[in-house]
Amino acid sequence: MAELIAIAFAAFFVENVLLTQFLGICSFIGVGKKRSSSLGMGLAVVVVIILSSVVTWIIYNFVMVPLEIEFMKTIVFILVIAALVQMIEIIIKRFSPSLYKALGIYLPLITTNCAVLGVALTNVKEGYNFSQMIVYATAIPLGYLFVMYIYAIIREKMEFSPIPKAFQGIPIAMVLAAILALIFSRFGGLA
Amino acid sequence: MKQGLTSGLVLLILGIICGLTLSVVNFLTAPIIMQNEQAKKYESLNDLGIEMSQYTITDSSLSGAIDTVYLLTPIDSQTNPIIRVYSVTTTGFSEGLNMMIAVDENMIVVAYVTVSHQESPGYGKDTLETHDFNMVGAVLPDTTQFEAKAKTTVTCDAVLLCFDLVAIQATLDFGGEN
Amino acid sequence: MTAKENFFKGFVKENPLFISALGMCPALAITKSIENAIGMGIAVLFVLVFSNLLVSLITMNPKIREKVMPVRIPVYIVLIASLVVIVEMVMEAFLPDLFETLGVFIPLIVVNCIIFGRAEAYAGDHKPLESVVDGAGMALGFTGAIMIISLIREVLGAGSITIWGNIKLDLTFIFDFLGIEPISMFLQPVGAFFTLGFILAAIAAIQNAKKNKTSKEVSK
Repeated sequence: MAELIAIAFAAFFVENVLLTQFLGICSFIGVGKKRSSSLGMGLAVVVVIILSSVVTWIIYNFVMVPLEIEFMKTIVFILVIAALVQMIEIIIKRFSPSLYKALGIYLPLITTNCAVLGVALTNVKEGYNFSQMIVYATAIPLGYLFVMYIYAIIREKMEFSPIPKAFQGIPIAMVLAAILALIFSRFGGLA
Repeated sequence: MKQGLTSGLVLLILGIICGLTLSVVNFLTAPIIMQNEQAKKYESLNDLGIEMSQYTITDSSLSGAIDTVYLLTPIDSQTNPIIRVYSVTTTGFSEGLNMMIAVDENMIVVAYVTVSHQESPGYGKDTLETHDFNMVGAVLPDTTQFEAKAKTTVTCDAVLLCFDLVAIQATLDFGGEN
Repeated sequence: MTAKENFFKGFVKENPLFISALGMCPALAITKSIENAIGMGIAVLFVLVFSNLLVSLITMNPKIREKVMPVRIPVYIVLIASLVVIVEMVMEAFLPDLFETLGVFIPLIVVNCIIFGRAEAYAGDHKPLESVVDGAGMALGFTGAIMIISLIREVLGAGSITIWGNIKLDLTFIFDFLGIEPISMFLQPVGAFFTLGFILAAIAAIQNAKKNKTSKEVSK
């Protein structure tokens, strides 16, 4: 149990997917401008990462390892993720139009979000067992959601600040991310 | 329907071609990767500071905390004793603190080194990388001369546990020969 | 557009990282030393050149094009992923240390928007040779960009310039002369965001200055 908590804590704070592993930066900079869109994207990422991690972990351990085709993992995982995202989109559209309205536009962007493939690959690289994998795959996207939301709050406030002309847009977003990364790097001493 | 069939066929053909190409490349590179891993495995033995060219190395796998035992038989048996190197893994602050501990036939710790660990930077990591646990020359299973470092109790306990586990295994291994 | 223009457009005018802001994840994560940047650049060059070549070969023949177009996205994904896996395996076999440091970012080339973007936006309706030139230009532009970031981060953060393996330039004497330590913050994530942010700001400043100049000329 203690070990699972350690994994969760490390995944959420210390190895935060955005601020120390640099996965999913494109969506972070692009979508993290508004609170509502950052929540939508974050929740979609949570759903997709958990589901894709479970599916890829099962395929890897029960199909690819017995067949000794581990080297194909990158290609298989990306296809699984792409197919899964499509399926989730269809299912949500059919059963919950309101949820589709909230998350729908973010789903197609997720296939190319490196965090999803990154987590799937880390799961098998670290050799996690099922419970470790579930904990890791839940904590990572929650850390993503958390940082993205904080980031969006600050950026909404920043809209009204007098920013030098050259820094407007992406550059100031990077500087802000740097400050957040500085704060998060201090969690390193805790784990 | 026909449209779907052609699309499926296109993907199938592409999949087969790519799969075949990849297996060919894998067939060519897999032995080299294996060799690299093997070399890396014995490379960690070099960190112990023992002159490996003086010994013939054989390894055997175990289950449990001690995963591998390397038996170093001296080529010149007059001057050098037999050494067993134990690769042992325990849990410090995070899982996976892996050490190599070399013990000679008189149960004296010849050398030890931390191979890999997940301890946090600033605390456990610094201890493992800079602190001397003062265990060289200790006669196992006596570990009283072990020097821990303040503030990193969990990491130091994990290191001490490594030595205790090796002491038990070494008593079994060397006890059988004498 | 001449072949030369086509090749060099990826360097400055349409630089994938600095102008289009694509492929930011590896640009932030692996730019701790120039060696890493070069390794990553070679991997991207190989994948981008071959993916552009294969995509334009497939879409050149109208008959095949017609069959592939409806499923082109999975086709591109499979092609790119196969190329990435080849790079992964070759690198693991021949450059194991570099493979270790680049880690998960080699397989993640699959989801790098530059590769997919070029296949979709350029290679799909251009001739093979043009596509290869375009891919090489874009990949080298990306490599150059991440090398600039690495240069800043490594010099300031570690006080050295590592070009490849042991070919290393030690600059710590400058820090000794100044009486300070290298600023290790630049090797940490903070430094990555900071460096890229300031480079992008500098580029924006240059662009703004140029715009002002032309608008003044026009108003005259």
